[in-house]
Amino acid sequence: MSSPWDTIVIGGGLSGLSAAVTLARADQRTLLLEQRAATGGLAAPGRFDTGAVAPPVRQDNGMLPLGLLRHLRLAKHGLTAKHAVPALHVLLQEGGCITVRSNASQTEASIARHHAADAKNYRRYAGLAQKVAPALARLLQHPGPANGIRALPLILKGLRWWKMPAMHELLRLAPMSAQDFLDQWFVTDSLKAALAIPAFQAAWGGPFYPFGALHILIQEALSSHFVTGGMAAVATSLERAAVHHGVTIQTGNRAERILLASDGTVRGVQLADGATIAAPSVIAACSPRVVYQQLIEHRHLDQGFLWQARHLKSRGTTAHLALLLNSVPEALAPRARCAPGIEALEQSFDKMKQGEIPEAFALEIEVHADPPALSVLAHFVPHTVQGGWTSEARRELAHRILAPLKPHLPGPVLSSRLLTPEDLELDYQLPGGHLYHVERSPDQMLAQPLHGWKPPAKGLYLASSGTTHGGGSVCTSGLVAARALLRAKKQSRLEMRRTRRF
Amino acid sequence: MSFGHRYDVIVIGAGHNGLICAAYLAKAGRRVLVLERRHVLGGAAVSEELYPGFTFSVASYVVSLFRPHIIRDLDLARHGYHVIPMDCAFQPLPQGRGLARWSDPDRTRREVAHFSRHDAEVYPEFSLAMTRMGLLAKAVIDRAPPVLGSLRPSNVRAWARLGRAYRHLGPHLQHVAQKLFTMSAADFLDLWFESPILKGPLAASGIIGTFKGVRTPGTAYVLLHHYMGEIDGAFRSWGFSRGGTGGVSMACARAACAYGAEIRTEASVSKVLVQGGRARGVVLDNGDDFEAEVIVSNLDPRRTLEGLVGAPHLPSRLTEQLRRYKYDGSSGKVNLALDGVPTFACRPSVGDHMRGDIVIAPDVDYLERAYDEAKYGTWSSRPFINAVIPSLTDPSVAPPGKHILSCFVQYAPYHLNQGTWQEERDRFGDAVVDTLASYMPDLKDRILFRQVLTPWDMEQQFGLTEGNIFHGELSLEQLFFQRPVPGMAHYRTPIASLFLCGSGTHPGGGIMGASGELAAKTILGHPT
Ligand SMILES: Cc1cc2nc3c(=O)[nH]c(=O)nc-3n(C[C@H](O)[C@H](O)[C@H](O)COP(=O)(O)OP(=O)(O)OC[C@H]3O[C@@H](n4cnc5c(N)ncnc54)[C@H](O)[C@@H]3O)c2cc1C
Repeated sequence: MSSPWDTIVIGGGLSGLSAAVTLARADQRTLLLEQRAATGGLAAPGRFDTGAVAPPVRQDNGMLPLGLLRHLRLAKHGLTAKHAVPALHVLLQEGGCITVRSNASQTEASIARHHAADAKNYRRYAGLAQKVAPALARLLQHPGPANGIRALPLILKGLRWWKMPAMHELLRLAPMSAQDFLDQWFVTDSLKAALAIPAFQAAWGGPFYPFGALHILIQEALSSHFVTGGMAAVATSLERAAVHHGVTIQTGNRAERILLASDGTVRGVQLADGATIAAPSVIAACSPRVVYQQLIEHRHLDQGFLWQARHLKSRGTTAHLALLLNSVPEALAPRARCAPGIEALEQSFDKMKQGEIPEAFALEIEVHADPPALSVLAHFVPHTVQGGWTSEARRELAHRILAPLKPHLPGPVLSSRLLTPEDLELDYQLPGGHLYHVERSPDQMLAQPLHGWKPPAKGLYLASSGTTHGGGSVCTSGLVAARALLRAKKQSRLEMRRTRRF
Repeated sequence: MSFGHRYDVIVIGAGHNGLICAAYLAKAGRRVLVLERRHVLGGAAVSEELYPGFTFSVASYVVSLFRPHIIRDLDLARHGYHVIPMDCAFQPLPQGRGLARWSDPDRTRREVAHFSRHDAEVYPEFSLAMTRMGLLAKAVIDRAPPVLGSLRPSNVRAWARLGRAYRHLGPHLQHVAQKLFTMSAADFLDLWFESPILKGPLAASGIIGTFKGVRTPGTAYVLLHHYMGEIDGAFRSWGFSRGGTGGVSMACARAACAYGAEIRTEASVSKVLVQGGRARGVVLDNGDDFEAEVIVSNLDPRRTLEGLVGAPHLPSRLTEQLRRYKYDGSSGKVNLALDGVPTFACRPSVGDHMRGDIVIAPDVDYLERAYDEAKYGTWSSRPFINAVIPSLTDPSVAPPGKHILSCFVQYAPYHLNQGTWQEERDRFGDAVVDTLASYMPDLKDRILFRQVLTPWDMEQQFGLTEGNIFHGELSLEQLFFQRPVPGMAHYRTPIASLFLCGSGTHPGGGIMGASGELAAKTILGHPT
């Protein structure tokens, strides 16, 4: 079969773009299909009603691996890494604010103004994160087949298992709930609630739910590489790099099916208009649920595998609110978190479970300067609310998200843009509306063959937030998938040469 | 120091694990003394005549996990161990006829099909998968757990054995196993079933004894407890011990005595004497003291180490670990004496459906709501109830025509955010009876006697710390080589010659006997 393309990448989010750049740099003729009008996925900027640029849904959580930036030579395409971790303001329920900085003694001083013991314990808490960071980084950013049981040697190595206390410590801590984990150090309720937020982003569950600690640790340990201009800048530079290396990008073009030959090998892609594009390999950089439930032909797949794929969970609980302002709110800049308290959040989670709009949310705030705007992620918003997301319900939601922020805003809100989990599902093709495509619950983090770098069809690779390497640490999955593909190509070339010789 | 009496081994506490441990040690020729605080034997596996003519299984009420090889080793059948299997699990519902699942798969399929054809089809598949998981679990529970970081050949062999058992499952069941150990019961059941009604009682098995909801990750594993039971070699069946669950303990006690162990009741140990890092003996509340080479405690880890040994003798890291070890009791028990058989509104006949498990868990959301209410520190006003009427199967426990209704209830959190359990006890009992009465309209008229056991009562009566029925939460970070705490998973303690043999050790709670047996083997230096 001759085709103008070596590989088709489905999905032009950060993962798809990184995959495409990696392939194109290895002289692969690469076509990237993006269903939306622009690339960037959740990192693509939006628009307010006024026409002004709105911040993207994805915020910079500092987990962009530095090595990756270097590898993709994004600096050449306009991306600069920040050298210091930006300050994080924690707005306290009882008024006032704590500022968390990479410098632990400054943070300690800031906490000390509110609670002496918490300040002292902060140092121990930060020390712990530092202790487990290398192990977690190796595990999550390792570009190998890290699945299930086979990951065990890797984990052990990463943890330097002969240092038993550290190992036991992580094994003990990881399954803890955010509440139990943070109770070990802190008393100030809204500080605990704010520190717990990474747990709510990753998986479905309130602060009482097990394994929250794992996600908090991951965030604390890996969040160290921020970029200037936020996620939108990453998307722009990746697109530039892709174009520079000769990737053909087609936006507004949606892949409808991944075509397989009868032996289960990839043949190409069918588009929405029925046209087909042939290619021997495909990198699906969209939600694994979309891949397995819509794109791929089932008859060629293993039944046991499908059984698992059918049950991928992706219950989104996060809404995004972008606010256009007339000047930058200094009190919140560059980023802030705000949450009412551990128990109050669990109650919000309960409300959400019943399809109601909770009173208060866990908020992650990122401040943008040009134009002055806020990006707010609100956790514990139901995917579908009782009675549906009517304009009234939406207004109510926006109002409740905004309430705790109002006192910190310098002026009126000029325009706003609200995306409920349901909107995210529809706009971005995210079944369930989960920002990481699938929940990062322990079972799904382990079930890597399902949404990892090598699904069961030859020539098909998965790269997205929904894979093992996705989630918090953006782009890695694209790189991992592209490398796996290149490796396989090289191997088959070698094999072909060998058979020819005989 | 001079002691009143000398023994080879003293076992503190005559729960079934303590008794089994004593029996194995006595069988191996050791001079064993068992000291029990109460006037009866059995701990949480106990039968007591609370009301004239009625023998209640006061705490634990059904048996299934008991290790069959212990029955053989200790010749327990000869000493009166007798378990009558149950045939049915019945879930009454506000509407319709309710759902009964039987040991006969055909009958179950017909019943389930009323709710979902699909579920009826996959039910056998699910049971099979769970049975295979149960076999994997057996490889885990019948031995002392291998630990991390030891290259001792026996340890490496133990890991290899587990690896083999895992590999033997094949790819599909390996995925099932991974999910089982990490998912919530509700999510796990979603992999097979669609009917929220069927999923209700199934998911309920995942929360027994834990302070977690059916949607809390980690509860799927507890489900497994209900699929690894064996009675007479028949896998995954539950049953009634004749004469109440105390019958199991009494059989163990008789076996221990037959091998020469001595058992004293109303002998509450107040202190383990430690000298030079070794346990030398024990002192009772009344001042009596006993000396022994080896001391074994059937009490939970905190009670043993902090209560009887005392923090000064312990490494500070351990005290810290023990403080973190989670109990969080969440269950209550309501025992009723009835003057006749109550009738279910949805299935009025007095039939076989009443002879087994009766589960008040109409659907998954009901269970989650019960948890949501309790997790802030109040008891569930509409609780999950697991009831049995043992007198229908074993008439010996009640006078003719009279019956016992035994109700295990969740959630009743030990830590209330308002009031005390003494104040709340009766209202809690009323809520349980009201809930049951909504399915059995004639229940209230039949009650002759009622006993309400809150987690606080369980702590007082049975010495269950924070009322946890399993001597500590069965959550992932407290299981296997981390039970009770990392570095202490082999029934040993930092005090030489002091051992643990209760449910706070691997493999955990339930009337299993494994902890007692494995502790005894560790003490004897036999391979475990
Ligand atoms: C309400 C309830 C329902 C349950 N239902 C079931 C069920 O249906 N099926 C099932 O398999 N499991 C069930 N369980 C769990 C099971 O009963 C327990 O896990 C098991 O019985 C614990 O046994 P053990 O020998 O480890 O400890 P225990 O039975 O707790 O024994 C400890 C013993 O030590 C004694 N003791 C305490 N302090 C002292 C002291 N200072 N000096 C001397 N002696 C002392 C106590 O009196 C007690 O006899 C239930 C438990 C409860 C509480």
